[in-house]
Amino acid sequence: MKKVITSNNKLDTINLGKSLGSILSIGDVVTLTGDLGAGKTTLVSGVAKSLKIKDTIQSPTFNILKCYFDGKIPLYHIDAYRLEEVNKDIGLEEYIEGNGVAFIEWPIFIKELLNIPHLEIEIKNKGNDKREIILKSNDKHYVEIIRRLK
Amino acid sequence: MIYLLLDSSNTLLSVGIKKDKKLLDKISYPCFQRQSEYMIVEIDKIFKKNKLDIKKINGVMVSIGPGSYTGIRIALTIAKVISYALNVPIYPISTLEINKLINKDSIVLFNARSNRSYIASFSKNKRLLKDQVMSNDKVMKYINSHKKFHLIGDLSYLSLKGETIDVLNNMNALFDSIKPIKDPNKVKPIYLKETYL
Repeated sequence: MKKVITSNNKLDTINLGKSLGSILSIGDVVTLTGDLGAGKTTLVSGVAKSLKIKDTIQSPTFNILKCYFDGKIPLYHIDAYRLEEVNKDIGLEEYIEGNGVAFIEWPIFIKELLNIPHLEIEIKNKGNDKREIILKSNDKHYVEIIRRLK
Repeated sequence: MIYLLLDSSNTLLSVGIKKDKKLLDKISYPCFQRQSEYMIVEIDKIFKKNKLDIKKINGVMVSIGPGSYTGIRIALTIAKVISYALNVPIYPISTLEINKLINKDSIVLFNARSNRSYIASFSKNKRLLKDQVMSNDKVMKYINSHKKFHLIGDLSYLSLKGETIDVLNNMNALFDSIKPIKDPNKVKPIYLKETYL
């Protein structure tokens, strides 16, 4: 299933993240693709709000993995950008198949760890603040999540 | 003789003090993915509470995996630093072994992700399966062909119920079977999984 949602500004993206966060459960995996500045981290910050996480969500590009434990369930935010052509054996599977929800930016660099059902989100920059947010999955569980998002 | 016992190779954070044959004091609680924040604090607390000086210990016993990638490295790193600084030996032990039922038949399992498990089995005090990674299909077959064995571990990922074991009591009981290693550089974590690249 595929659904395209238009976001007219940053607030729209945050609100979509909030709706998504309210229906995700432990073990869920979401991949995020989109250019720099597309709003990947903005979307995750919306998810964090709905999980009642107080910490500020920052891009984990440098850290690779950031964990937020102070919400309703743990949130794992992974950015695999720096794992291109290096040893990926750093235990990320314990977070992807962990005790919380996982958001993964640059999933192409850790394909080996993503042989499990997940939700794919692509964010396209349509100029100014406008974004096209494409949600995709063939897995039953995630199809239901896509259905519930507006 | 006083020894520090450490385990953070799975979901628990466990710190114990062994005095001669006895487990003098212990603390153990679920702390998955956060042991690095609390283990040093707990070591400090338990020594203060028992009015003991960590500088006077005779060695550190530590579980070295298989288990959580980061988890096994937390307790082992702390053990190595202590070993190096105080010039005391490390007593390394398999994480699967410290979760067995002593003198009984048991299969010990942890989730290794990607539809696999870490598994070891023991009959009385004899080892049957060495520590290894096994696909969950094979694990289920193994369990079904060993119906009288106790299952140990958080097995919700296999939709099974497993028993939980007091790892610190076990470490104390198994202490005498472990050979001490004087040079901390010689102790390596056991990961068992293949590399992706």
